[in-house]
Amino acid sequence: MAEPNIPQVQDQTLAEIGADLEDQVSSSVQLLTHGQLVLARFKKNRLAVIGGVILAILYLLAILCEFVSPYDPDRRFQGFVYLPPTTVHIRDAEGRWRAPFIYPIKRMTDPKTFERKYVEDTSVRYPIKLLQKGDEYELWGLIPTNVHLFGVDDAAGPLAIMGLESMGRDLFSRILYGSRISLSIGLAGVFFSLIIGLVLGGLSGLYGGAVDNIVQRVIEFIRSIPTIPLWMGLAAALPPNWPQLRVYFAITIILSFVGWTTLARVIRGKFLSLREEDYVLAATQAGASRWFIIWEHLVPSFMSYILVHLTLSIPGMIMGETGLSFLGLGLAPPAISWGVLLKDAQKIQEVAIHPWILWPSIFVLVTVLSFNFFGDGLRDASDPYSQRL
Amino acid sequence: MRGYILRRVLQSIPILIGISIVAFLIIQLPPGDYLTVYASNLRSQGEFIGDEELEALKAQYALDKPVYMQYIRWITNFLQGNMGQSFYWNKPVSSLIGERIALSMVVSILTLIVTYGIAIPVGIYSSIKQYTWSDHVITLIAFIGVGLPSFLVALIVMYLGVKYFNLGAGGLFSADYLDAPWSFARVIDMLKHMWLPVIVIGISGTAGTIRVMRATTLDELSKPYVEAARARGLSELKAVLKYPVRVALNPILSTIGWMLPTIVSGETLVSLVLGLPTTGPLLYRALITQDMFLAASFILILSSLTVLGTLISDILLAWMDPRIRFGGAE
Amino acid sequence: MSNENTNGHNMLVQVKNLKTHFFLTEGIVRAVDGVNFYIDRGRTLGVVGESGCGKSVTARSIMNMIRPPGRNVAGQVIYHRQKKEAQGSTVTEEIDLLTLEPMSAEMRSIRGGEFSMIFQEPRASLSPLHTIGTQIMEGLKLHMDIDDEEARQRAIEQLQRVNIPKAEERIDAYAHQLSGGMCQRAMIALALACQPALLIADEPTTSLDVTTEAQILNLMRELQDTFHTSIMYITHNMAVIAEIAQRVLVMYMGKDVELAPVDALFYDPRHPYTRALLRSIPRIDDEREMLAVMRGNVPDPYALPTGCPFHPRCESRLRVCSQPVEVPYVEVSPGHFVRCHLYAGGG
Repeated sequence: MAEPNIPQVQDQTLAEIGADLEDQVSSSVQLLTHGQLVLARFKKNRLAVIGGVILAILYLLAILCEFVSPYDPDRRFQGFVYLPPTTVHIRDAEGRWRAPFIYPIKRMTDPKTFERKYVEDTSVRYPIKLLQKGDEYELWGLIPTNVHLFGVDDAAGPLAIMGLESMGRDLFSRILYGSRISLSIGLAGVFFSLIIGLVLGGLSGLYGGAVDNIVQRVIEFIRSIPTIPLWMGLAAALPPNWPQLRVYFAITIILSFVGWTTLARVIRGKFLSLREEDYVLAATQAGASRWFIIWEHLVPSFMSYILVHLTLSIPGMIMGETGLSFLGLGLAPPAISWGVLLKDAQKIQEVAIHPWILWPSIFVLVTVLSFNFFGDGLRDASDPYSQRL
Repeated sequence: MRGYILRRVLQSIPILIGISIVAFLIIQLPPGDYLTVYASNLRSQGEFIGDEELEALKAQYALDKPVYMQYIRWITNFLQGNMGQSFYWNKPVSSLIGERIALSMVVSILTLIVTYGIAIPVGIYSSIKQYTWSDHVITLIAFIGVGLPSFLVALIVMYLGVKYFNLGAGGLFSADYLDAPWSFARVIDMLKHMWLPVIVIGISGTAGTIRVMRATTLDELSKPYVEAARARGLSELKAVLKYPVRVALNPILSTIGWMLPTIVSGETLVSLVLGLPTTGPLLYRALITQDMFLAASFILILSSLTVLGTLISDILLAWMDPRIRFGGAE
Repeated sequence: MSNENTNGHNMLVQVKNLKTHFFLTEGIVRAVDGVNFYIDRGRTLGVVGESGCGKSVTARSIMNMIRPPGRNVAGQVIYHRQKKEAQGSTVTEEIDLLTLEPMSAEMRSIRGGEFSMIFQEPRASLSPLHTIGTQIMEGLKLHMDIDDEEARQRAIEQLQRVNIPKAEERIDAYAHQLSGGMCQRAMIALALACQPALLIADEPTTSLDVTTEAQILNLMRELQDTFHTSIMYITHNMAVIAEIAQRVLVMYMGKDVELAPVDALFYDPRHPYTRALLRSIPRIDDEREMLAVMRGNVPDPYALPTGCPFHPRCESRLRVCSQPVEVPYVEVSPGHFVRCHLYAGGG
C-alpha cells in the first residue's frame, strides 16, 4: 500500500480513491469471513484433519461402547485366561474365500512343558455376524437390548480381537468401556480448569493489586512443583473406601489443580489489556460500558485462544489419569479406564509373554497424538494471518 | 542485578513454604494419626511399643497440639535433618532417601543437558534450512515427539527390549555393580545404563524445545540486526550464530524453569516403569503403603530442589541478558 | 587509465539492467525489473519511490546480499574500485559484483569494508544483546588488521565523530539504553568505521522525528565532505532528496522511471509519475486548497499491468503504453533519462 505521498487527503478525492480501491479489491481478491478463513486453513493441515477424524471416531465408539463391544466387559471366559487375539479368517482350510469367520479355540496343555496352549479347531467355521445377539445391556442406561454390532455364536468361544486379559475378559470390550472414563476425564478436567482459570484469571486481571499478587504467587507455586509426584501424593491421600464416581471427580479436580494456571495467566493478560489496548480506549470513548467491552471485545478476542488451549491440554489430563490409574493411585477396578487396564502391564515379564495387554497404551498414544495434531491445526487456523509453525 | 537476585530469592521463599504445607497435608490427609498406624504396624511385626515410648513420640511430633503446631514441629525437625520415621522400612527417612534423590537429580540433570544438547543445534539447523526436506523431517518428528507420553514409551521400549534385545528388566546398574559400593567403574556402569531412561524422559521436552528453538530463531533471522550484521561483511555462519541464535537462546534457556519440574515429573513415572533405583519407585511404594513421612519427605525435597534449580537458572539467565542485568527491560 | 567515463562522470558504481526477482509459492515478484543508474564518487544519489517499488531490493542487490527465494536474474553492478599502486598512482579496476559469490571472502571484504549500509530502524538494526562497541569493533577487526585495543580506540573516535557525547562510556551501552537518534548515530559510526567508498542509507531517518532527522542529515553531509564517501540515499520523502542529493533516481514498480540531476528533476520533471509525485508535495507558497493526489493505487506485485506499469494511473497515457512492448529509455537532456513512451522521439 502506498502510505507516503498522500498526506491530508480531502473528502472528494478520498471517495475517488475508495471507488478505485473497491474496484481493484472486488476484481482480484475474494474476501472471506474469519470463520471461512479458519476452516480453509484448518483443512489444509492434513495431520490436523486426520487427528480430528480419529478423535471423532474414538468419541463415537465411547458413546456407543455397549453396542460396539461384542461382550460385557465383566464377562469372564472360564479357562481362556490370556487368550491371544483371535485370528479372523477369510479363507478356510481348503483355501476357499469366505466371509470373515473364526475357528473355535481348544485349550491344550503341552505334555512336556505343561505350558497352556490354544489351538484352532479347523473343522467348524463360525462366521462373524453383524448385529449379533449376545450379552444383555441397557444402552445409555435406557434401552434394554442384547444386540451388538458384531459377534459370533457363543458356541464358537470368545471372539477376542485384541485378546483376553488376566481374568479371561475381552480386552477390546474393556478398552471401549474404558474409553468412556479415559476420554471424558480429559473433558471434565479441562472444564474444571476453565472454570477456575476464568474466575481466578478474571479476578486477577480485573482487580489487580493484592488479588492479582496472590493469584500470581499461587500460580508460580503450582507451576514450580513437579506435577507427577504431587498428583501421586494427592491421589494416594484419597480415602480408599470412596466410591469410584467420587474418585473420578477427585482425580479430575487433582488434574485440573495444575491445568488452570496457564489459562488463568492468559485471561489475566487479556483483562489487563482492558487498560492498555487502543480499541478498548476507543470503545470507552464511544461510551461503551466496561461489561459491554468485556463481552463484545475481550471475550471474542480470547475465545479462539482458549479453545485451542483447552484442546491442547486434554491429552495431558488423559495422560495424568492413565498414569495414576496405571500406578494404582487413581481409579481402581471395578471401574474401567485405559490406565486401569494398563495396570496388568506393570510387570514387564507378563508383557513379554502376552504383548496384547499393551493395546490400551496404543489407544492412549493415538488419542494423545490426535489431540495434539488437532489442537495444533486449530491453533494455526485460528490465527489465519500468522506464519508460525 | 543484585536487586533482581534478592527479589528472586525472596520470591521463592513463599513457594518453598507452600510446598512444605502441601507435603504436610499429604501426611495429614489419610485417616487416623500416623502414630497409631506406626504403633499398630510395630505390634503387627511382633515388636512391643510401650505407652511411655508412645507418649514420648507424641510429644516429639506435637501430636497433642493443634495442627499448625504439628506443622511447625515437623518442619523444624525436618530442617534439622530429622525427617521422621518410615513405618514400612522402620528406618529414619533420612537414611532411605539420600542416594535415591541424588540419582534422580543426576538423571534429571543429564536429561536436561541431553535435551538442550540435541534440541538447540537441531532447532537452529532446522530454521536455517527452512522449507528444505530436512527441515520438514525434523518438524514432523518434533511434532510427533511433543505428544509422546514418556511412561508409555518406556513401557513399549521395555517390552521391545525384553522381547527382541534380550535386555534385562531395566535398572541403572548391571548385576555386578548392583550392590557394589560407589567406585569409578560403578559410575561408568551407571552411565551405560543411563542413556535409555534419559532418552525416554527427554523425548517430549526435546521435541518441544526443537520447535520453540526453530520458531524463535526464524523470528530472529528476519530481524534487521541480522541483515546489518551481514551488511558488515560477517560470514553467514557467524552472522547467524553470534546474533539471532544468541538472542533466540534466551527464551529457550529461560524455560529451564518450566522444564525442570516436567523432567522431574517424567523421571518419577518413567523410573517406575524402567525400575530405576531413583525416587519414583520408593515414593510410589511409600504412597501405596501409606508411609507418609517418607512420601512427604520425597515430595518436599524433590519440589524444593526443583525450585532451587529454577532459581539458579533464572539468576544465570539474568546474568547473561543485559536487558535484565541493567533493569532496562521492557 | 582514466577515471572519467564517456559522460564525463567520475563513477563509483554503475548499475546496468539490474533484475532481482523473488520466487515465491504464490508467484514470481519482479521486485527490481531492469534498473540502470550510476553513483558518482563523493556524491549523493537519492532514490525515491513508493513503498514496494524496489528501492531497498536495489540497495541489497548492490551489496550482493539478496537471499533466497530472491535472486539476481540479470544485470551488472560494476564497482570501479580504486587501488593505490606502489608508485603512488591510483589505478581503477572494474568488478562486476554480481559475478562474485555472495558469501565469498572477496565479496565480504567489499561488503562492510568498502560498501556499507544503514537501515530504517536503527535500534532494531543493533543487536539487543551486544554493546554498540562490540558491533563497531567487530566490523573494524574484520576489515582491518588491528588488535582489540586499537579497534576500541577507533570505535570511540568514530562515536565522537558522529557527535555522540561521552563516547568512552557509550561504547559499552546497549541499543535499548540509547535513543533512536543515538542508535542511528551509532549505526552511522559503525558503517563509516572502515571508511567505505559507498554508504547506502535505506530510509535512515524515516523512524526518527523531524529534528533528529535534520541532525542526522547534517551529520551525513559533514561526514561526506570529510571522507568523500558516495552515498546512495533511499527515501520516499522528496524534501529530504532536495536537501541531500545531487542526482535522483525515481523508481516505480521495479522500474527506473527517471534519472536526473536534482535541479532538473524538481524544475523539469519529465515522467508523468515524477510529476504526480511532485504535485503531491505540500508547498508553503501554494495557493491551492486541496493537495493533488495520485489516482489509483500501487498494483498487485503478482499481477503487474502489461506494458508500462504506471499506465493505469497515468494521466497522459498513450495507446502504446498498455502494449506489451519495451518502454523506451531516453536521454532527454545530458544526464537526464526518462523511461516513457512520451519521449520516444528523443524529447
